Amino acid sequence: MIDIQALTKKFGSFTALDTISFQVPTGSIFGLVGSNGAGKSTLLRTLAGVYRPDSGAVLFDGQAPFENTGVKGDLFFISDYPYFPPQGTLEDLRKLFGGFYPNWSNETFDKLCAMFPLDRKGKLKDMSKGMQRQAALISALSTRPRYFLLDEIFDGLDPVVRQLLKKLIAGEVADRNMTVLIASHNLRELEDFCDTVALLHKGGVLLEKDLDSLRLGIQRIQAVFRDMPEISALKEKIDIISFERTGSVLSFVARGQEEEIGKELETFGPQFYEAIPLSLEEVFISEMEAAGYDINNIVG
Amino acid sequence: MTSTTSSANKGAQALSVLQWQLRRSSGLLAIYTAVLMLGFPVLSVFSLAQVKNNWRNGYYGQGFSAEALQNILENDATSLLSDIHTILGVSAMLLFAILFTIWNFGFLHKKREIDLFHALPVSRSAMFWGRYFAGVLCLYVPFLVALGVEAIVFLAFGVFTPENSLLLLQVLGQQLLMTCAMFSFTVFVAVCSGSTLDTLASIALISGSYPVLILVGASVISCTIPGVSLTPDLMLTCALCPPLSAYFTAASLPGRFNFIPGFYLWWVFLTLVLLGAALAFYRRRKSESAESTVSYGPAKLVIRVLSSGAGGMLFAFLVYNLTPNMSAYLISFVLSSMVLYVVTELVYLKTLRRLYRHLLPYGAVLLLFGAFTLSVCFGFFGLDTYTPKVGEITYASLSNPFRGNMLHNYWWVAPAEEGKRYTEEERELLREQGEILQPGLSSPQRLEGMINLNKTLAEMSRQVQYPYFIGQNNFSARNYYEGYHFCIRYTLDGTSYSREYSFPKDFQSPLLEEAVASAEELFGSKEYYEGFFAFGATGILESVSKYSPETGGNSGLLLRDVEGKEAFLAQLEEAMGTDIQAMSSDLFTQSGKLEKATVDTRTDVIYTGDYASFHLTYSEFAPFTARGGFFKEEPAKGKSFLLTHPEEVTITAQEMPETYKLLEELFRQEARHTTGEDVG
Repeated sequence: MIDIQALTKKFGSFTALDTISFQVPTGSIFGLVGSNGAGKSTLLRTLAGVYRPDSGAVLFDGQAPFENTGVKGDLFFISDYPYFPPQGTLEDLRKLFGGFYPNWSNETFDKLCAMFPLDRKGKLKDMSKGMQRQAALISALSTRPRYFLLDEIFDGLDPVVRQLLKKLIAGEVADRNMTVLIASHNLRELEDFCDTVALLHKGGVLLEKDLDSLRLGIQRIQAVFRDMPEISALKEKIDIISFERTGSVLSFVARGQEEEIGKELETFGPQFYEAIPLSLEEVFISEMEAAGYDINNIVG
Repeated sequence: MTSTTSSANKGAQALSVLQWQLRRSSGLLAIYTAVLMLGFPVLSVFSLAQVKNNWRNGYYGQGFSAEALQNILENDATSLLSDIHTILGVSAMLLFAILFTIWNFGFLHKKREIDLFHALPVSRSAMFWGRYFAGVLCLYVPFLVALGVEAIVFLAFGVFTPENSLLLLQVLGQQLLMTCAMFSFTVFVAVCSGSTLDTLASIALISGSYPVLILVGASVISCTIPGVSLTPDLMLTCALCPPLSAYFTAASLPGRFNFIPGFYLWWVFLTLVLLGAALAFYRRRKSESAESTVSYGPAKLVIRVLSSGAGGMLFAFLVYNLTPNMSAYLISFVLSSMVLYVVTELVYLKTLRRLYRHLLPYGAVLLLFGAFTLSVCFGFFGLDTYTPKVGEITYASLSNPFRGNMLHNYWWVAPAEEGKRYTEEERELLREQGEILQPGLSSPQRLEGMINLNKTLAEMSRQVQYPYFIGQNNFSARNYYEGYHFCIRYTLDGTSYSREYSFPKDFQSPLLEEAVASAEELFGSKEYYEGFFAFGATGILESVSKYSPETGGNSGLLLRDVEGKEAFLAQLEEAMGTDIQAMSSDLFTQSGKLEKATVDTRTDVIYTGDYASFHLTYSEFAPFTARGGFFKEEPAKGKSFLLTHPEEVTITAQEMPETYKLLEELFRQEARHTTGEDVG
């Protein structure tokens, strides 16, 4: 389990992470979302042991990663712009990581190289951004990490490779109980992949929820009324987060189970109502608006 | 198949880093090796082959024996190795030390690289040592290879003499030490810097600022404080500057300057300090400092303050020399240091937007400069009036203020290579190496007189102007030749310094009369005359006295009244004449054997048969004593003299048996006089 306890990281006078706390259960896929500058990359670098926390702690099964080669040997971090040695090839990466990671597997490396359409002896600097990320992934998974930290990993990957990657990671999670922390500013990429998602904004965690409960716990309802009830009256019965009224049609987002909301709504005599599924992005937008944030400023 | 690599211990981690880094460095390593191979063995092959061809088969070698030709080749090999090492070996080492630093530690300055390497399961210590030793190996191995091949070339040309093999070892030792020192220095700077540009700028600023501060500071003191003439010790000037020290140690190879063990020990110590500091700073370094402007801000601040101050002082001093005016000096310092401060702001911070916030440290520049200038104007903490105590002085000397510059020139020449024809440039070099000798006074009474004279002169200087203006101590040529000029030189235990005062002809002060009287008393003393020991002095002395070399610190032989002095001098003349006639060097072969040699007892000149004059000096860099110039009473037999003709050649006489015999006799006489015992 990854345990983040009141973590603070500052760069001079700028606070990149401000006393954040949450936990990532072992064997889960945890998504970090937030706009640029929200603190996602800083959090991942701190988790990877690249940065030293200014206060608080990050613990992997009770151990801090900074200057802890035991912990670092079990985790792998792919940054948003992974570095490759000049003139380096996939074979060079094998030599580099194979020399340092105790669980490095040449077998996995060969298998993955066969799976991704990459030239093992081709220069990485000449490859496309997507191919470079594939190379980083091959190296990373060959270290057989227990903790996998990924920053904007889907950038530049084509849909086929993206699905392949998701499949591979899901397989590793299922087979080896690997824990994955993935940061992205694209909510759509995470919604069919993550178990839990946390929203970071200006160095703080605005929201951290299990995706299923998040989806089930918030509903978009469209209802038609002959006599439009007072919104204040509705809000007394239903936890409405946001609403929009057009003639006799009331559209609102509310917290609660669909059945419960429907039951309360019927007391106001709607002519018709239906629940419309919310995308993860819409769920987030609603939650953020309810919390008083302008979502346009948070998820860019 | 799963790898069995374990990163459990730091040694294994460091080894993995080292292996990886060595693989990465192969290209740069090959270039460095090629440069050194071209510089050392390849150049040596061409050069030695040409020398061999010119002398053995060409015009130059006509009339030379095979042995003499071999000596020429061996000496050329020695010179060649020293020159290549100084010019190319050191320069290449400095350049590649910087390149390998950027190559091995540049990852600290790039966020993408640091993300990769600091996320690896490698401790920071292991990462540091792995990369450090990879750099050291890449700098050492090409040099060892080049020098090994150089030794083979020497063997092939038959010049691998004991002297040259020792030289090779010395070159090797120096290079290994200074490479380590330079690399530790550049790595330390890289660790403390946020970017590669910062690193390069800091290396240049640190390397330049310290020597400039020392040299310009000493010059300002010397040109301002009356009497004071500071010549900064070269070792002190190099002490915190690895590039300069590398050149200095290379230029200090035996045969050029003295080997200075203390200097090498200092660099061993400083290398260890730099290395320890680099490791400590690296372990504490924040990864986020990459590409940042705030990596170890205080260090950057110190560099900016020192470099602005040093640059400002250098420019101000140059301006002052063009326009000798204190206001020009002060204004040019403020302007130039400000410009430099702004430039360093741009280099380090890449913007001037926050310059106004960073002006406070510039205040420190002005403050330090103001404090220094004021202290100089007020005598630099009593330096203007300081005189040593009698007990501290080994001997002191004084130039004659009334008879012009009475400093006695004395040719101090490098051991001549037998049979070698010197080019005009080489002869010029010999002349430049001439040293100045002054008679030394060592009795407490005379030393007390010298100190009192010094105090009087210092007091007179304060009467002229106090606080001193910058440049006040600059002598005018008129004062020097027409006015009153006093030069006192103290030799303490192993060190010496001088106090030189100059007053115009029309300067009037009761103190001047006092000073002149004191000086006359000193000049008129028997001890003063006895202080001379050159052949020229023997004719006017009651007894041959102590010979005190200006530098070197060895005392010579003190001879009291020599019985039958006139007869002795006649014998000396005859003995030298016999020895000179017996010489058969190539010079004399060409011009005919000498028929007669005459010793002029008032000048240290020997006139030969055709009236060419030669100066007689002594070889092996030792002061002359009756035993041939060896303080440790080493017998003179087998040692060589140098005959120097200022216009044409310097030759070495391998044996002057008759002269030695006589000098030995002189030595025995003195030993009997001093100890009452016979000396063998």
